[in-house]
Amino acid sequence: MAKVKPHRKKPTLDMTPVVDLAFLLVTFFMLTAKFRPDEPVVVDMPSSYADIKIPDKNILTLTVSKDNKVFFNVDNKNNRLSFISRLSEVRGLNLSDEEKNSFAIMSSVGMPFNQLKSFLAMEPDDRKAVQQPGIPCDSANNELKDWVLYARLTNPKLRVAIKGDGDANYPIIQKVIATLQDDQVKVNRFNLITNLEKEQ
Amino acid sequence: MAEVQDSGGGGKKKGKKIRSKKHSTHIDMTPMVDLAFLLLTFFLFTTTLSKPQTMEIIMPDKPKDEVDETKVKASNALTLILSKDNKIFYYFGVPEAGNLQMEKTSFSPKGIRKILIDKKGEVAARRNSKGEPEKLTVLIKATEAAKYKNVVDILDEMNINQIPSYAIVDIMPEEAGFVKGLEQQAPTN
Repeated sequence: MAKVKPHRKKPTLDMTPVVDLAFLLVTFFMLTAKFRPDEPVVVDMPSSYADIKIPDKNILTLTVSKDNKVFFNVDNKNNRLSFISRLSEVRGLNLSDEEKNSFAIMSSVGMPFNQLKSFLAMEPDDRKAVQQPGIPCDSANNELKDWVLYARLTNPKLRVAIKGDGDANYPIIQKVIATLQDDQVKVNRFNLITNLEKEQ
Repeated sequence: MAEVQDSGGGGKKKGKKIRSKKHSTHIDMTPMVDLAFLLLTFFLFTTTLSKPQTMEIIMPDKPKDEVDETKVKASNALTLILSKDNKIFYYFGVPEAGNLQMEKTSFSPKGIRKILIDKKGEVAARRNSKGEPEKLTVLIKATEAAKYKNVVDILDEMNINQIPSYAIVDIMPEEAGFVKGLEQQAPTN
């Protein structure tokens, strides 16, 4: 009688389902991921118990950095393009199409009008090295008002959000709010972006 | 391996059919899994999972003249003045010229929160002419030395304690001067 030999087999595992799953997840994360364009400043937001989520469309963000500079950002490339064209026309900035396009794909800007053209004409890599002075919002020279006003004229659905650093001085925030409440701009409803406070 | 067999001039074929050797159709998937998980980890780390929270603020329209301004009943008013180093000065009622009295407190559950809760209860116990409970009104004023964080914290405190009405108001020069004086008196703590 022949002995029953145990049939030797390599312990192979069928990996196909694993691969399926892994790629499914990869696809999911790829499609949901939004790459954040790099911001000119790092902002450490204060925390609060507020639990309203910020909408991800039609949002105008005014970033206030730790050193009290104001930066401006709107979402949606197409809106940015029509906005900058309008702003350029009204303020006589003489921006070329190329400069307008480079504005459309940028993130936050904090440049006074007189330096905006040369700033936009730069190569993207050079632009990162520039220390942006922030948008002037003093009552004597309030450029921020024009930024907000024309952004809202190009897209009336825009909601204004203030993203301030916790260490920013209050007077600058006060100036931003005063600008928003200006008779021409008339934004009485806005959001303050915060982090969610951890339960203690 | 397939071999080319040359037929030897019409000689009879051998009975054996040439078969291509069977390969197993198994592919080693391990590198693929490695790659897939690498990508997966990458996307996991780059996505921001939590969207930032937001506080919605609705400011009143700018008053055109004195008539438009909302008057607050003195007994229902609480004024908080945010000062530097996370300090809060507060007083009840309306300020009397030349006779400002302020207390000092801090951003802690025992500090400002207790004051808000006590005062809210006290005011709500009173009835107005229609027999409804009175409402506490908190006026928030920030000095120039205040940080943005302080303002967010105090607004948060309003939400937590469900203060029915509060407003961010510009500080009066007398108050600013008074607070400055208080701070110089006690530089420590």
